[in-house]
Amino acid sequence: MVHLDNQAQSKLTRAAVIVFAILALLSTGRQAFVASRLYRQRGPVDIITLNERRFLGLRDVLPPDAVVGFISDKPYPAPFDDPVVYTDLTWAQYAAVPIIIVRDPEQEWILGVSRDPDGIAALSPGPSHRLIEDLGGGVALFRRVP
Amino acid sequence: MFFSIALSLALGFLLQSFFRVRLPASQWRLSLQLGLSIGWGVGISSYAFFLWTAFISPTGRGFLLFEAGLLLAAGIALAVATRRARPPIEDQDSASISVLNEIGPILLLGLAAAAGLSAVAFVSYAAHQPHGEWDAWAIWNQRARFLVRSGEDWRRGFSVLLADYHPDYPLLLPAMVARIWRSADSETLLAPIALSMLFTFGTVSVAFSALGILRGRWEAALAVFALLGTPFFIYQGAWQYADVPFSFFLLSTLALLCLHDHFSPRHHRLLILAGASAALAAWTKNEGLLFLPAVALAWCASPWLSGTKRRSLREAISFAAGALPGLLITLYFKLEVAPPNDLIAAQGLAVTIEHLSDPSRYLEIARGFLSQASLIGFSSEATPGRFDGWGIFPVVLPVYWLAMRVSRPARAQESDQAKASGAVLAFLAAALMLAGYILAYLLTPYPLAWHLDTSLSRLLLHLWPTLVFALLLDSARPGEAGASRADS
Repeated sequence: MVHLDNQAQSKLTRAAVIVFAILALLSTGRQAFVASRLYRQRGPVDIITLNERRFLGLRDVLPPDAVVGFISDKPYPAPFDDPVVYTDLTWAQYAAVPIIIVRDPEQEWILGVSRDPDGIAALSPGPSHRLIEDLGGGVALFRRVP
Repeated sequence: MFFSIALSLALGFLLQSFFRVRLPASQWRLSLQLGLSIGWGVGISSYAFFLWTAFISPTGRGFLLFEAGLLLAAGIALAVATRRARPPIEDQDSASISVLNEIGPILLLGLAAAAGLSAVAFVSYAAHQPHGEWDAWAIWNQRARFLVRSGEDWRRGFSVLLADYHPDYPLLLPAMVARIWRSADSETLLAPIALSMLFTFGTVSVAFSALGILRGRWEAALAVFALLGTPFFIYQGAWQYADVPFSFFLLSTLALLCLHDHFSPRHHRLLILAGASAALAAWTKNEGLLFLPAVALAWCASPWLSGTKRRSLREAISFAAGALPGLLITLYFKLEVAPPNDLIAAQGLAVTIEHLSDPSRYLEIARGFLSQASLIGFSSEATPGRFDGWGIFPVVLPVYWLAMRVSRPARAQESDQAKASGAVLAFLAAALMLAGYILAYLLTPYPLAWHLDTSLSRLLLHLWPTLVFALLLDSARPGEAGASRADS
């Protein structure tokens, strides 16, 4: 064990400041470079805003206190850890607030979301539901009919 | 929007100034107060907005006027208290200390460059994903939207039907974002981005200022470099998650407790502020309800471990008094508004015992911690949606601390036992939090590997600013007086 006097420890601290500063500047410089490259490569609109636009019509059709079921391209009920379905559901919920969207095919209203913009025809909410409105972009509303 | 944020910050600054914190007057103290104002201002505004929504007007009518009135009242109260109170500790040396002069131009340039580059990174990340990342749109900003869009039916956002999105999570961020949106009459994305930026750089500011007061400019500078040089810290802040704000309150609480021990052990105002800060941690994330008992336990135990004077009942009462109002609001939210927590509700005793006695779960958790090591260092490429990792400071800083500890003069004594106790307090609080997190993983109803993979990094991030503070508090040379002298 090497014991240093106060002066030597002060020098050690100052040396550490120089080392820390260099490492921090390298790290923050790299972060700034990577982040600004991400920014330059971004599209005209971020993906969340794009998805918000897909669900714009939902709040026009449904009342604010509506609770809506959800179906997707995958067979219902999709597994919890299916990232595609869970992502679509979460994006839809974020856009549709205060409407609540649940993973339940027995609701009066069903929101159908397909990753294929022309894939509405493949969505199958069940025999008692009919297509009410195609909101475009692979989003459609179904309603149970008597 | 900027007016409403400024109103909050002004309120935070005034209310904490009202406590006439007995620290030596210096620019370091002003710097600390400005940093703490962020947490205080946002905290008080979010408490007030929630209570106003719950009891006065769910549509928020009249709230901004109320807050402006609160600011005026706080200003008048402070002016009156200032006239009546004893003068602050006037330390001739510290009163004349200019932080900028003390740091010096070269170090100042380095700090400014690191801060500037971090700001560029933050803004670029935020502009690339202005809605934030997953938790921001699935939890925090989603909840804010419910508070704003639901009107009279504001409790809708806490329905059990939304269980996937954790409607039981506390409301510091959602309430503050909703408050700004209401006052701006627009759901501007700048609101959560601005809040995240304040907390990210506010955390750095608190670490810088507290260490500047307790130790000196070198340790203060090391803290800034270590935090800004942690890519995950900047990236996570820009993602608009609650983890960085939570880490802010952990650090603030511990810094205030250390400052109390060192500067004003006979006066308890810093303890009241520390208690309030701990309560704000519980209002930010559920982990705050673990932090409160952890910090209380660590605070009681640290004198025993460091051989300093034991805590008194009066001190404990002061800390509790600071925590109580915020804690009551959080408990009201938990008991009367929020549904049960998913981690707690899903467990029965038999399952709990089964999980605790399953050795594979312990191995899985150990694997999860070990996998964090692969995130240390400079990664080769960053891709959208993937963070850059921990950088190099989780290795470099402990090495520095170790080097300072082992190289201390053989017969040197820590001339300031209060600071030794402060470091022990911070280490112990962090260790207790870590133990709590491990227990939560053992008992989780979710697939353990998935839960570790999606949350462990963020839980460790809660503790990182505190660890930086503790390591630097403990690594200074014995007899180092810091920027100001103690209250004698």
